[in-house]
Amino acid sequence: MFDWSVIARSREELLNGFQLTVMLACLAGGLSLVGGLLLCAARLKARGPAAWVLTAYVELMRNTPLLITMYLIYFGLPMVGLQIPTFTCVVVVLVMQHSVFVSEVLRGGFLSVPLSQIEAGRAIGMRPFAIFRIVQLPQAWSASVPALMSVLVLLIHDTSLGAAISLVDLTMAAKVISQRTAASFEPFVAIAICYSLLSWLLSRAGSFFERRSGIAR
Amino acid sequence: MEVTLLVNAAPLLLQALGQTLVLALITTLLALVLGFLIAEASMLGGRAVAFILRCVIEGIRGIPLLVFVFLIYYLLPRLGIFIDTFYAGCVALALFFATYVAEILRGALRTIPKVQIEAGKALGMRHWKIQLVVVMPQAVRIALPALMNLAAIVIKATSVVSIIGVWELTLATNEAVMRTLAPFTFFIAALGMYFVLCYGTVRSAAYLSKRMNRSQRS
Repeated sequence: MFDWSVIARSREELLNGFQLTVMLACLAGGLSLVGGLLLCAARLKARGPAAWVLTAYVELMRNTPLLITMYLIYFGLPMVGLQIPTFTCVVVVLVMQHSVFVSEVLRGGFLSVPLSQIEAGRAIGMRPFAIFRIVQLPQAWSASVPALMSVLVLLIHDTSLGAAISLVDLTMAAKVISQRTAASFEPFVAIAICYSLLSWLLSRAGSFFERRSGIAR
Repeated sequence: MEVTLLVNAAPLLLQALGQTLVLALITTLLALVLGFLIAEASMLGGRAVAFILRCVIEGIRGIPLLVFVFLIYYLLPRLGIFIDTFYAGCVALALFFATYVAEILRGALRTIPKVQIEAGKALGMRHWKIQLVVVMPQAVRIALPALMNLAAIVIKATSVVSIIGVWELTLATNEAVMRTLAPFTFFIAALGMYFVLCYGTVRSAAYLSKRMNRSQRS
């Protein structure tokens, strides 16, 4: 009933897809962390209309499917004369969405640092940046590591949506193989294992960081 | 020009929105029932069953929804089950989110003091009666905000089954764009519709949890 040899026969394609998925996840993950930190800082500082715009953006991104944003960017940009490669498009969309998730997690971390500690820092004459670096960031970081890791796992999972706009990632590779051969099911088992492996590695890294930041506390 | 396009497509888009709602509703209900059964089974079945269920849950959570949807979509015919793509999508989404429901319920069930179950046993109540009369009403109250947030996630996630060809809002919008070449009009309209649904669900979850905290305190 199952023909597993198809996986061995098309390992080249799967490996290429795997490579692209890893690249995509690393690039989008790194950019989302940076973007999330910036967005979080902006949201904590902003007052008035700027704060309103940022909140609107965050709520919009949190409450709409990634797939629609992806289609909007992918089909919309060429209409305004911007031709970008599919890979870039997927990276942009993933960063747009996941920097919002990252910023929300970090914001929770920063808000969990008691105000009295910041006041104490001010009272002993620390500069604002020193308070940020020595008092706020380490605590916010260790409070948000577990949640950040689940955001990054979700990001890895969301890279699979790139297949919807024909990015030849791991999911697309499986789709192509399954359409070319009679083995429609088997390639997806292979890539499911690949994705699980990535998620598992990331969660191991997460508990490693968690332990380390626990010491810092 | 753009507005007329949207007006012309409005009946189709609204019908698609209805499909999305039906899909989300069936998925959520099925996931609730399945998740409840998983949570119960891992409590009742002893260590071995609990361990196996844990592995299944962690396994499903390790793979992307899209891949899981493909797996179910291609697995069902192999098992001799031939159903409409729409229902295949439902089954895939429901199985996927049942693991989330099970996790939420497991967390909520832990908060119920054991003495209440023992009191039920002492009164001679059967297991299911204790579950339905004593434990679940309290657990569901605790789990409700999290379950509502999950419902919002389900609404967003239904867009993924458009990739296996389930006709719902995302696929209908995509088709409309292919016909009219007006991506901004239609995708922004779709974004708006999803936003109203999800934001409404999330806000009512926040409202509910606030209300319940108030009643708990008094």
